[in-house]
Amino acid sequence: DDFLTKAPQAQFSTVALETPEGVEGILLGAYAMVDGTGLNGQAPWENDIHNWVFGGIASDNALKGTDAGDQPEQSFIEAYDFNSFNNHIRNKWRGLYKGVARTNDAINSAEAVEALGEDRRRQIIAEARFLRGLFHFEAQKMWKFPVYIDNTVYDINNVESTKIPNDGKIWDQIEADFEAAAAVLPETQSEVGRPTSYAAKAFLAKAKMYQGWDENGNANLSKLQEAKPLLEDIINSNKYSLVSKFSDNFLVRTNNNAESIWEVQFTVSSATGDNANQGVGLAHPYIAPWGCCGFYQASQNLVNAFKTDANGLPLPDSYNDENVTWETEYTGPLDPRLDHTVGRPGILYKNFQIHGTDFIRDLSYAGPYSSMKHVAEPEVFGINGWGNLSANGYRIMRYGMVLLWLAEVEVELGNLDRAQELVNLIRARAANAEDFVPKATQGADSRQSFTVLSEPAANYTISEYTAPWTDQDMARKAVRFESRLEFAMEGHRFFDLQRWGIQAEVLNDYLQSESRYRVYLQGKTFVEGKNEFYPIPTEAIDRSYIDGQPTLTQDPSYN
Amino acid sequence: VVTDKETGEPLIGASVLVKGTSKGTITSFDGTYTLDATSDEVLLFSYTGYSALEEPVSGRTTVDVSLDPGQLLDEIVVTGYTAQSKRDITGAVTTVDSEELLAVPATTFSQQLQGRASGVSIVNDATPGGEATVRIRGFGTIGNNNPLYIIDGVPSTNQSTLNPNDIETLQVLKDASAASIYGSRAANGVIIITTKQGKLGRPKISYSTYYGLQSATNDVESLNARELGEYLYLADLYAGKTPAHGQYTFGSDGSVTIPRYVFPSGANSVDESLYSLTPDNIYAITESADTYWWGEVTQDNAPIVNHQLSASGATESARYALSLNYFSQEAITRFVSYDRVSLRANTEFTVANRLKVGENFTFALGNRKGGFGNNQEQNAVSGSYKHHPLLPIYDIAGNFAGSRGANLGNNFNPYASLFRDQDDRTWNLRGFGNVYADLEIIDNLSVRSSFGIDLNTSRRRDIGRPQPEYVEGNFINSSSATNNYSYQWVWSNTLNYSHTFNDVHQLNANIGVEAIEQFGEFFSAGRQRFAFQTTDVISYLDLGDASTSSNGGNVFTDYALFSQFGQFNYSYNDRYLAQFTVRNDASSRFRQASNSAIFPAFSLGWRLTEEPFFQNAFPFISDFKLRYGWGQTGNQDIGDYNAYTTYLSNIYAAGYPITGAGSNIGFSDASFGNPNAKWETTTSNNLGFDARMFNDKLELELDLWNRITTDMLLQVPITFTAGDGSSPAINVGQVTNRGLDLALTYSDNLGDFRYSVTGNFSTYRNNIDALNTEESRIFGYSSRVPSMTVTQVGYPISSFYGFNVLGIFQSQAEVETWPEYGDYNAPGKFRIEDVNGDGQINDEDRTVIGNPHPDYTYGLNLNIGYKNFELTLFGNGSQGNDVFNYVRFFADFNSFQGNRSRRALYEAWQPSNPSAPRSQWVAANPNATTPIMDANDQISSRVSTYLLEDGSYFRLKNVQLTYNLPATLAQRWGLGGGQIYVQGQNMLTITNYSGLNPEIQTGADTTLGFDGGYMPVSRTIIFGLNVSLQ
Repeated sequence: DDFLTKAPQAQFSTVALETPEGVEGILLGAYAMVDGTGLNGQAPWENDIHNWVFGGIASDNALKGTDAGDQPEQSFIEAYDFNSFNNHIRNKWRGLYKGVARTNDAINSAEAVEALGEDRRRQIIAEARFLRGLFHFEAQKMWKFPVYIDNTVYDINNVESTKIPNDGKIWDQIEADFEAAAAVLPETQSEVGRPTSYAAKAFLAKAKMYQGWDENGNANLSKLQEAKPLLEDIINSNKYSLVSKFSDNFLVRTNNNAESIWEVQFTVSSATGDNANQGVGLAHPYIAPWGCCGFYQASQNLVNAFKTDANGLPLPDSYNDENVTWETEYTGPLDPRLDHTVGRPGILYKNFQIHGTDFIRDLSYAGPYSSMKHVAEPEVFGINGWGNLSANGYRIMRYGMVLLWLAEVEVELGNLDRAQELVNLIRARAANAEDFVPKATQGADSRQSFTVLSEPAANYTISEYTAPWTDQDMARKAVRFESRLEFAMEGHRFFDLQRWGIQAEVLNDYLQSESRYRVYLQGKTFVEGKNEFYPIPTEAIDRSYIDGQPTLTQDPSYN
Repeated sequence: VVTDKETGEPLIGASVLVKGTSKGTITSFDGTYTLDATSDEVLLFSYTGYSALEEPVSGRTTVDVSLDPGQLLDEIVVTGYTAQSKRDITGAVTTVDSEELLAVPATTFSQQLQGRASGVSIVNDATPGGEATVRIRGFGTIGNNNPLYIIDGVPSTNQSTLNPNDIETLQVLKDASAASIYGSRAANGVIIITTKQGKLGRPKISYSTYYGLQSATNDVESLNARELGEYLYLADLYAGKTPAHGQYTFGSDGSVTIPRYVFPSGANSVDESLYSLTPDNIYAITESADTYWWGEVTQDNAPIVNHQLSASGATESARYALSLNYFSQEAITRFVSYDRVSLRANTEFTVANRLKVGENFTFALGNRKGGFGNNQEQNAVSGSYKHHPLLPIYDIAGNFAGSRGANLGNNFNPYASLFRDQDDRTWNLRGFGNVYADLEIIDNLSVRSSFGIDLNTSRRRDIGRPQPEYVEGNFINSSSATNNYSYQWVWSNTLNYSHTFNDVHQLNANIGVEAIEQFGEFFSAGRQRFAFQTTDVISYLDLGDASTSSNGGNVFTDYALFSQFGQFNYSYNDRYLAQFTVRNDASSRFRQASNSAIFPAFSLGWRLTEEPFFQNAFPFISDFKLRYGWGQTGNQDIGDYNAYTTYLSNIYAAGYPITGAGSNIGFSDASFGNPNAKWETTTSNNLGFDARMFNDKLELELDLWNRITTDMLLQVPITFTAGDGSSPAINVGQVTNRGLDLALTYSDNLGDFRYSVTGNFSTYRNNIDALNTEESRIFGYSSRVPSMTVTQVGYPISSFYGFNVLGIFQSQAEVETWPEYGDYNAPGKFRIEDVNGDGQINDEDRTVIGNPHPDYTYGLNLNIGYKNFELTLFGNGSQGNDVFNYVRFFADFNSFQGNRSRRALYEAWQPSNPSAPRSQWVAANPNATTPIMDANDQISSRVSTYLLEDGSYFRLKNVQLTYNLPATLAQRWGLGGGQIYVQGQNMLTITNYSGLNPEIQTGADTTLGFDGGYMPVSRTIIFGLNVSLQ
């Protein structure tokens, strides 16, 4: 019998991990899924926490970019041709629910291991619930009827245990997770990757902001009122502040700064990029030093949104009437955040070199603009064999969001002055002239030789709102427009439009205007009542059968 | 003198023994012999390939005999732990002549087996050193369908590295009644190989060699630089874009102007002194060209060489056979090759008449060189379809030119890739063999003990050289090393009893026990940033930057098996035959409660020609044996630790920089366990007959069979909400295969003219009867397109899955009557079938669209001999199987920037009035088969019947003309024999398949027939020589 007993080699058994170290490791394994990579056979961009595909190219801010044939699955998402067998959608589901499973395993393990001690057990469970809330939150943004799996359902020794129905929205469970986490987590954490109670409150508030409007755009005041004290609590804690330079939210050097309430951590070394920001690896310009792959280009519509009037205020109604030009230098007034958000021809690109049309893989396909917020600064380029990979953190929860959400709440509650005050905090920071992108002139030796001049790269004109807001609609529009400018190309736009209940209107307008330059968008439509959410992957339903019946059901609008 | 009964030629080296003594000799060059014998003794004459003869001396001083070459009926074949007369076999067993095998030069015996045995389908890998996929009687399971190989009694699942020239006999046990003696590993059939042993007689030294020249049989049909410009113009035009390109300029009439330089993009003049290709200044100036990449990456007359030197012989007390072999083959793609050196020593000693001890051992070192991986989108085949024809191999400074520059695509320079990979190596060292003792305890009862080993180590060196010219390239060099190490030992002990009672009751019984253990682990490491990229530097990890080190290690096999078995053969007067087999296996792969299982089998035979009524009714039939067999075999190929739930710990799946720097590594789910798994069982029935008729000129073997696999071990896809660990195999499925195998041979002589025709025909039907649920769908490999194969109840394994293209819309009027497909439908686009009839085309309209399993496969061999000349023609084919031509996904559609197939331009639907609005377009070529060129079209390339092709083919694999040196001439030259030949391989392939090679080996049984860019077979001319000294 000994001869026929072969215990697993080169793997850990469940028994071996029934120790405090084992439980901590299982929890870490749950954190490992936060960035979205870590699935077997997954391309990192298919499930990426930056949401540049689902939140970006599906929105009016961004185009797939690169050339027509590359990653056609992303083109289908861009064109609202959401297929239930699309690998991106499938792997988003897989990744999020693997994360959920890991958190449940961490909770069950923590409860089972006596030696952990009561204090640490409570903390581990709180962290795991925070993460469980986060994964489910992402799922709720993606799918109209996701499934919620908790640790009482999950049994690692029974692969059938999690086959339960998806029978509605799961906001209550998500809120419960964040509430439980907020109640236990400390105000500060010695390890920067772990969430604090404020991080949990911020996500709890975010969950409520996602319930703040119905699908027709009508405010749900009670939810917004629930969000308000949470947001104020974070502000009043005085633990967070806007950093003086807007661009410091997008540099490796300033990871985990004062504005970051909770940040997705990345790290890179010359030996491995497995914990680097692999998900955005493709979304770099198609020229040396990056070379790959020209995905995630900004739309003309987004660039136009950064136009200001002569006084430096945005043009939420007329911004798209005329284009910011690129063949010739545009001299009209612009919000300075534009050139920290979008790579434009003629403008110095994140101190690497002057953006030219050679940054672009196929100019006639997706236009002249690049994305840049997630791109690391030149000093940290090339640490890994694939130079694009960096440790540039994803500021998934930054203080500016708390300010603008509160502004949204105040608008709906009729406190327009307070809303304006909050928006102005954001605009005042953006107006810091020290952070303006400088003008640069090309040298002769190589693309990397350029001279930085002491003048700004464009006619940056930005100011705070001074005239009091009197009209709620106008104020709402101003706050939302500010959100677009502040967080553009950070993966939120599609979902912001979703929570405001205005996707169809905004995105169909966008298709109308953008398809004038991007011929391939002609004839595409965002179908109201359907494309607000993605379909549940066919394979997830296929794998959910019990006794001949699937436990998961497709979003009815995709049947 | 000993002569051939038919030709009268003297037989050289025939053995002559005095019956009942150890006195013996062999015949010399003229067939003569001298031997001391008394007048009442009996002489035994024997010669390989001839029936033995007993001749009493009867007082003569000269005994001349002639031996009959036609009578091969008593051929003894190894069919398990024991040997059996071929005449008495009652199971489905195919024997393949080693000469037939060796007729086709190849790296492994399984490649040579293609087309030779009915019921066996073989798909080759044409890369040098490549192996073959062997499937016996269909696909019994989803997990693993590889047969078991038994080589000199030692089991193995690894066909590689063995020198096929050492093979003496090869038997295929196709049904369970034959194979179940190997129990739990025999469900996919068993191939039994014995290697050459010395034969009684003087030492024989022989040398055989061949040298061949290989060239591509088929060319990639891609556009040239100007044609591609025309294509791009039209694709933009029909997409409604203003035609524009980073390199070409288009006139308003569609005329194409090619620039002088592709880098800088589209320039017509450039300051060449600015050339620079350094990390801080990339300005590699490249002149435009018109490159036919397939022509550049292939070579004509790539050599293939084989040398085999062997010595063998035997005395009464010792037998020996030694061989040394060298084989080397270059690929038709440049800088790719394989070579192998192998040694073999087989010896056997007879001690005191009752004890034999012996060994069979082989040792081989194989070496695969260079970089070509089948099924890769950047290999030389795929690259030849898609690398841009405007690009040359070299830029103006003589460095490799690449795709930096607008709209040139992102393919590697295919020539540069091959060049840079030429120092990649995979060395494989294998020791294989056994030591045995066989003791005859008393008459008719013997015991045998054999201890065998299979030792494998392999080392791979993978060199990564910078690709500065590549648009996504870099200046970093790297090297990685991977080492595999594995061993298997097997100890089997058998007791054999055989006796004939009363001259009519023949009995043979055999019982035994066997223990097997196998273990293997691998280790890999890599570094980057070597100071120099010379091969002697970059090959050694120590010379790379230590801070870039990476490494890994794992166990890849670890199991043990313990078995008891017995076999009982009985025949009554050669007329009624019966065999019973039973085996009990216990495996470490199953938890104790259900770790053992019993596999029974029986088969019956009835030799009708022994019955007078039959003889009277069919006098022209000389031998007719009816066979029936039933049996069960098992499969335990489910991974070693299926019972256990485990975690892994690696940075990719379980690491997170929780402190904001470095990485902390935790645990993540590796696999989910199923402690309740038990054996998968295949039950088979086989009904067949063997017949010889018309004076043995016609031989016929026909088998009807079925195989039902129950409790199929299936890695049921688990719900994603359980996690990402691998799913455990559970016993849920059922698969049925049924089919027919037919083999026939007709041979005859007309004076000096002799000929034989051999044919075989096999067919099977495969069906999934049950999976974990009726609705369960198991998808295969997904590439840049979602998986195109599905395994589901009611269909064969790995059926093709996608949209059904009914044709191309010829007009807007046709579009308007068709169900909507988003905004896709338009004149020139595919007309997709609304399968579910819901009035719209969407995901739900994907359906099973094809079958990778052939209707039938066949092989045909024709031998014609005239005096000393021999002409052999051999061909094989497959009929009715579909192939998914993934190459067309990027050759026919806009999946990459870069080149296109000729089909994409010349067979595309086009409007005769392109300036009219799309809705008024009229077909210029209504018979077009490819959809309209459209730069924005991403829908047409979805998985559909368009990408599916009929993979039927017939290939004339081998034509050989041989000249046998006449014995008189050989003798004059002091040779034992001699032969020269010239051979043509793959001279003709008849197929409608548009890819380079319809023979597609995919590896995974849930994705069959997927052509993602395969090394094509080559047309080869071979010159060969065999000589022997005796």
